Amino acid sequence: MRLARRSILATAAVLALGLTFAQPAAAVSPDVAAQFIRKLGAEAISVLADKSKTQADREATFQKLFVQSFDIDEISQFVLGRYWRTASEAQRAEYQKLFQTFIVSSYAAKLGQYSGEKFTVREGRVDDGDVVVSSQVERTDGGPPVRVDWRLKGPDNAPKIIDVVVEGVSMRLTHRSEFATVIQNNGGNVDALLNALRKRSGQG
Amino acid sequence: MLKSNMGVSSADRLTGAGNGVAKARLGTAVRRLAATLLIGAALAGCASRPPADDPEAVAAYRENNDPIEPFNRAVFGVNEGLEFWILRPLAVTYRDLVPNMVQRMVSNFLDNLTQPLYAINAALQGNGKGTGNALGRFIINSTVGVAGLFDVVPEVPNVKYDFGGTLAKYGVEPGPYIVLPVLGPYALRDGGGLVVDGVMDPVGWVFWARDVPSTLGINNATWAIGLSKAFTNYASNMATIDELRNNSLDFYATLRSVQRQRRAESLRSQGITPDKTN
Repeated sequence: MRLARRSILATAAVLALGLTFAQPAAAVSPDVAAQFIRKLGAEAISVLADKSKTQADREATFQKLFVQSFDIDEISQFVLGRYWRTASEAQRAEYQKLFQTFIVSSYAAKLGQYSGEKFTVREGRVDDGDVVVSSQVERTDGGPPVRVDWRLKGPDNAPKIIDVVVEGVSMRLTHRSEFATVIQNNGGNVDALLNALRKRSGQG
Repeated sequence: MLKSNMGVSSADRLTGAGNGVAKARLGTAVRRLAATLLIGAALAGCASRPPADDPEAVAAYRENNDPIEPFNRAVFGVNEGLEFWILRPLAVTYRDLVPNMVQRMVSNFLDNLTQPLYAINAALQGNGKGTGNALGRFIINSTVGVAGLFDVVPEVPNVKYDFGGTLAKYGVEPGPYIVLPVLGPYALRDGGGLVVDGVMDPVGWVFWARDVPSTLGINNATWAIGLSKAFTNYASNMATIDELRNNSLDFYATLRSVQRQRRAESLRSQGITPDKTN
């Protein structure tokens, strides 16, 4: 009797584990992704517009939000491209730390300059295994709105942004090309890139 | 193209006289300078090719498509200097002193005058709808839109059909990346397309017919419109460019990548599949 129950439990456990591991990492569904961007936009705007907090407070909260919503590890690996494979553990670790500082200072600062222009999320669509959500930001000088596309990967309960494309220019592609050039022009040495990133973070 | 058929040479127009001797001396000097520059570029300006046994390096080299990178970087440096010392002060003044509405009216006016050229390129590309849109915009905005100051048909797509796009449509490869003095970065095909657009511009023909002179084969009216457009575009995009520059480890490389992606967008908007290298 005990044996039978144990084997039933064992079978159930194996089945449950099998189901968990057998499921592929699902891409986020387009509607969920669009809603995520809408919510993120609203949250970011309210953080930036909260006059009851100091500028420093608002920036800190905004940066936290930024780091949570972007899959910075995935982006950093994509950006280093083929040099990720040949980099040592130590180089990879330092690179990812420096990359996060670099990205936060470049983009969180820029997004923080947002001053109430209308932000409209249009829709999500599947693209190459990920989901791309299109949105637009009205310009202050009255020109045509700026198109911003957000690339996300799943799962549905925890989507993350892996690229931002502004008027057709992809953040991760641009940085990948730029970092590769820095490494190439220094004899293929990843340390040259790390030096440049270190110097950049020193400047703040 | 059209003007050279009329028996007046560009060199004559440039020197301002039909003086054969002056023309010959100028021609020799220009040829010597061009030869020196080309040889200098060939010797000093070529990027080093990666070893053939490193396929990923070779692939990256091809993707950059920048065989004269050192030379391009030199021109890029000169352009940056010109931009900082000359273009920037003027653009900041324009952007900050001229009211937004006036800036928009100026942009609309200049864009409207380029619509006939867009119509021609759309036609050359076999794009009937695009031709109709461009012509329609021109006619309606020139009349109802008060000489093009107002865009009264914003819902009509406004696509900038250029000759580089026309060449791409007929399968011409983009060619190497080249940074032109003052004009900035282009793929070789698109830089050449720019020159053809300058010569083809119908607005230029109209002024040529009214005896407005030309410089280097392109009517002065076309020069005026083109340079004004470049200036106003720069003034409105200056902040974005500054951000890009400040956040770059290597602004030359960043700009090269951005230019390639923007060009792919432009080709897509003209209904042309972007080049494989993009």
